Amino acid sequence: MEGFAQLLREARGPYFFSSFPSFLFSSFGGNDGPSLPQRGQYRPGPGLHPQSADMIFTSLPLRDKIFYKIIHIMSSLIQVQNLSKIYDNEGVKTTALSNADFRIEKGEFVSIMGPSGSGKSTLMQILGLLDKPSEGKYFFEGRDTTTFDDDTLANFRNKKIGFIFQAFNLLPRTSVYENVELPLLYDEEPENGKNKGKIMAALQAVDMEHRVNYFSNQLSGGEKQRVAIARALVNNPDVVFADEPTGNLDSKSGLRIMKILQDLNETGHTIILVTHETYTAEHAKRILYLKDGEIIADDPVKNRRFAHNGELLK
Amino acid sequence: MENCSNNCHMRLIDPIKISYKNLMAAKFRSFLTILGIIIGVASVIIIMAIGRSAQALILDQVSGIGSNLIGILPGASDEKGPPAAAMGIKVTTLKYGDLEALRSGKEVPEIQDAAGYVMGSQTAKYKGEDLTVSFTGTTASYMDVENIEIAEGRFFNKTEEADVSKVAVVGKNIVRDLFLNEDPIGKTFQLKDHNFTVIGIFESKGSAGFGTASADDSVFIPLITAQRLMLGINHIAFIRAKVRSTDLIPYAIANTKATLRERHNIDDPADDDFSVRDQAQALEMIKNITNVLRYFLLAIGTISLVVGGVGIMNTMLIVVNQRIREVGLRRAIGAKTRDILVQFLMESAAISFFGGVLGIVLGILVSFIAALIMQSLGYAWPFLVSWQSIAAATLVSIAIGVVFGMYPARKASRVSPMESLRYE
Repeated sequence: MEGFAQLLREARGPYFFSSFPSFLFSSFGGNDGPSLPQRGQYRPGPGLHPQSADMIFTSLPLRDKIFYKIIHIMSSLIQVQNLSKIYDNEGVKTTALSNADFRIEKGEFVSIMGPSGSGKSTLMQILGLLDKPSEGKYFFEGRDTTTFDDDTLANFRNKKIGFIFQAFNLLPRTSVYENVELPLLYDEEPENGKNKGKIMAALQAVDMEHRVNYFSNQLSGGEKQRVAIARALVNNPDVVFADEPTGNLDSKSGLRIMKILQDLNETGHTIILVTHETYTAEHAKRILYLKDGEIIADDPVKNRRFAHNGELLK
Repeated sequence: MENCSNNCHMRLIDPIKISYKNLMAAKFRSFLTILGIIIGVASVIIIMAIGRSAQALILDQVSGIGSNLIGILPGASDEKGPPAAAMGIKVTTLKYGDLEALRSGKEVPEIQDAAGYVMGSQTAKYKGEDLTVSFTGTTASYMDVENIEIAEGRFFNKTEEADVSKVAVVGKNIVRDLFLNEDPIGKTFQLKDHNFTVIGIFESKGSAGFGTASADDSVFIPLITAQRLMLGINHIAFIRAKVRSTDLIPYAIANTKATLRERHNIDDPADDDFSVRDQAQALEMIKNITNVLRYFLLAIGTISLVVGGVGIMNTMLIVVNQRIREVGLRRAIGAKTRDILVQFLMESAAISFFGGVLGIVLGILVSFIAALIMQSLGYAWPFLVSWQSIAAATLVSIAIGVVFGMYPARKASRVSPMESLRYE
């Protein structure tokens, strides 16, 4: 243990070492505390086959393995360890989430699935930095978010996270343009004069640029959700959270939304979809199953569904 | 807000746009919300305007009487406060002898002349016309002391005064209403069963006089005639003395006081049963009285502003609850607690400011109409709305929005994004 730590100190210097989360080192020590993901749980980014990655990994010398693992954790978009959420309602304690352990890489398309009350919304709210866990750690891009203050969380949500909700949550009596503009208004580092381009690009991505001057109440449900997606994309976030995005839509509009999400994923966006429907969940590449606050399964989707502009291809 | 480039104005304009939209979306409710502010601001503007106009009118008339006049009133009084007589308390300590002593030029050489006054009202009759008129009993010296002109005929003289003659000088309105525009000179009319002969008509002044009734509406008769035949008294309501020049006023006042103390056997000035005032004091006094009235009315206006503020607070609390999902969404996409706080504060300030603007417009309109009405009634009533009162009303209405919007805005900003998104 000490030897590895020494190794790291020499290799990276004291700054790297001190700024690094301590859990990394405890994992070499044994069973106590959170450990690095086991083989099989490890998921590389898109384009690299899991098996081949594992083969490469095992053939590496020990020192390279350590660096590889460190870089790997650093590059993980989301890593949660021992995550629990307990609601205390006037003395009555309810466990909404217990001991969740997983990671999500950049470029993944993950469904969080489970029946209502399974804790999937709680999990999404914690991952979306809308809520804090009662226990455990949540690393977003290698940074421990549980230590963030409210303003930093707000900045993170603004810059790095996009939200899509079941109820769309567009501002009423407000134009499509202004709705999409909203995240830019809260940007701490605004890029002057670029807002219009960003808004139009986001609307183009969801094929809604022709409705730019419409008011939110003049749109159909599917169109509203597409505007909501544009709003989620306008700040070019690292991850998009979609909470039952098709829940209020007819199947045709719903498929169109799924098609957009799949297209976004193809172009490199990380998508985390929360749903209770197996059918919808199977549009993702990987499904985390939740039941009674616990992750009971974490599997790749074998027969992935592909949506195509309102029709099912497969 | 640290990076104040193009987004600062957006953040500023955004809540104004939002509040405008929300105002328009629920027009009737918005109207009711801002009604309190409209009424409050309008009443403050009206009160300030009417108060200033009335004050200007009165002061204008008081100073029109002449700046070298001093007034002698019965009863002691505080220098700054109103005399007892002005409060409707009858004090009978001033007598005809006092007037004579002051006029004589021996005791108070600074006084050029002085006039004594008594007032009352009586029914006047002429050829079957009945009219209640206010009359003033005064001395022949009245014409010397006051700036009054006679249009036709003459004023009564010392002999007529001493003889208790039944002669009268009347105003234009009396000619119109009692004599039905007949030439009244030489005509006889009845005042409390006594026959009076009209010997003169006053030049129209067009406005109410101070202390005495408007010359237009009044009947002037000799002082002793009024005391004996009309009122059955032997005291004088007040005396006005004309001082030879303005710089002699302090001496005139001192000598008048000394003379009256001697005549009334008073040793200690604290026991004075009269008061002597010059024009400046009178102006000061009137200002004090009208200011008290203004501030009293202003307090009432302020109360309605506070009630209006409570209305805004109530509406904003409802608005916060109605838009809790919007708050949640804004928090989710990166709004900080202070962004939400500022948004709702600006919204309530905008509502209140909007009410304030409407209130100012309404207030100016009402003050203007009031001025028109007063002018049409023949008063030299100026239309005075000060920029200060408009600026104050604007600032106060914004301040009310901010103060009463603070609680709802804090409530909104403290809502957790998660809970507000879950809110149905």
